[in-house]
Amino acid sequence: MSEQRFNELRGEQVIYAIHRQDRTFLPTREHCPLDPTRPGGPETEIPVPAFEIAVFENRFPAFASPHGAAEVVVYTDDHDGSFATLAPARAEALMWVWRHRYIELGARADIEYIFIFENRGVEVGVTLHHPHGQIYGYPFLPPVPALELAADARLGGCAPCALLAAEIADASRLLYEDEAVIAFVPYAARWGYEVHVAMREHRPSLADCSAAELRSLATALQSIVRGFDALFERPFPYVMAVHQAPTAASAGGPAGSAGHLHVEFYPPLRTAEKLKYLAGSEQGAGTFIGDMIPEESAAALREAIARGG
Amino acid sequence: MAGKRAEPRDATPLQTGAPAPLQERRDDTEERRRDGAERIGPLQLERLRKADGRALILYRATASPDE
Repeated sequence: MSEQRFNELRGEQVIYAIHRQDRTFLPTREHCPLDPTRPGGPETEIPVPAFEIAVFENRFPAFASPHGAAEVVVYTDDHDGSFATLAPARAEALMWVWRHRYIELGARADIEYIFIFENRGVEVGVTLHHPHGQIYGYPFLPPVPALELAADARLGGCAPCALLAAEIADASRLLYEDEAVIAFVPYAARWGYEVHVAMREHRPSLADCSAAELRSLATALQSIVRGFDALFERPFPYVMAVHQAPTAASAGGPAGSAGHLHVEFYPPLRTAEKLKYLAGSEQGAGTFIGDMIPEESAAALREAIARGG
Repeated sequence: MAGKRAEPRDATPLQTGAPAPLQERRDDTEERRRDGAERIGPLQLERLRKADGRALILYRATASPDE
C-alpha cells in the first residue's frame, strides 16, 4: 500500500510506494515476466501461450484501488520488438486499448487523472525490456496537467490549440503532419529532442477521437520513434507521455471540457553518447538549461524521420 | 533574449457545452455480443483474473466488426 503525503513547500503530492523496491529488475531474457507463459516454461504475468495486447494490474503498484490504479500495457508477445517495430495494425490497436482504459478507468470515482506513458531505455529507468507501457490512474490532478489547465486560463482558451496554430504559422519546427495529427519540436522545448504530437482538431481525449484519427495518431507516433532510432542509429531512449483531459469533474471543471489530446516525448540524449541530466538549475531552481536550439533539433529530426521511414 | 508565445486571440475558446462526465458516458463502440464476447471498436476483449486476484485483459483484433 502506498502512502501519499503533501509537500507544503512545493505544493505537490509525493507518493511513497516502498514495496516497489522489490520489483523485478532487468531480469534475464528467459525470465521476462511480460513474455507469454509457454508450455514447460516459467509462469509469467500473462498465463497464455500467445497474445496480441495484454493489460494487467501492476504487481508493484504506485496506486491501487480505492486510491487510484496502476496498469501495465504489453504491446506484443514478441520480447524483442519495440513500439517502433510494431506492425501498423498493432499500433492502431494500441490506440484503441489506450482509449478503452481511459474510459473505463476514468469512470471510477477514485480516479481524477489517467496518465498513459512509456519509459523506453535504461537511461530513463526501464526495468523490463519487453515492449510495454503503463497507465497510472491518479486519485488527484497531478502538477503537469494542472499547469496545462492553468495555461488554458492564461491564454483564454485551449493552450495546445493556440500553440499548435503558432507552430503551424512558424513551420520551422514541424516534423510530420497529416489531416488529423501534427508533430513538432515545441518552441520552448526543455529536452534537446523533445517532440509533441498533437491532434489538429480540439479533441480533449482519446474518447473524442474518430477511428481515422486514432489511426493517424498511431502512424505519427511510430514515425517519430522510428526517426528517433534513426537519429543516432541506436535504440533511442525516451519517456512518452499521453496528455488528456482530466476524468473527474473536480479536477479542472466538467470532464471533457478542457485538455487537448497530445503526446509528449522527452528523450534524455543530447548526442549519441551524452545524456542531459537534471542537475542544479533544473532541480534546484526549476529552470531547464538547453544544449541545443529547437529549430536545429527539428531539422535533424526531419532528416532522421525521412531515413526511419 | 527575444521571446514569443502564442497570443490569446489564437486560442480556441473552451467548450461551454461540455460533454458529459465520463461517469455518465458510455463508449459508443462498446458492444457485448449474445455469446458474451465484449468488443471495443476493432478489438475483442477477454477479461481474466490472475491467481492472486489481479485483473488481466487480453485484446485481440477482429477481422471485421460484423464477424
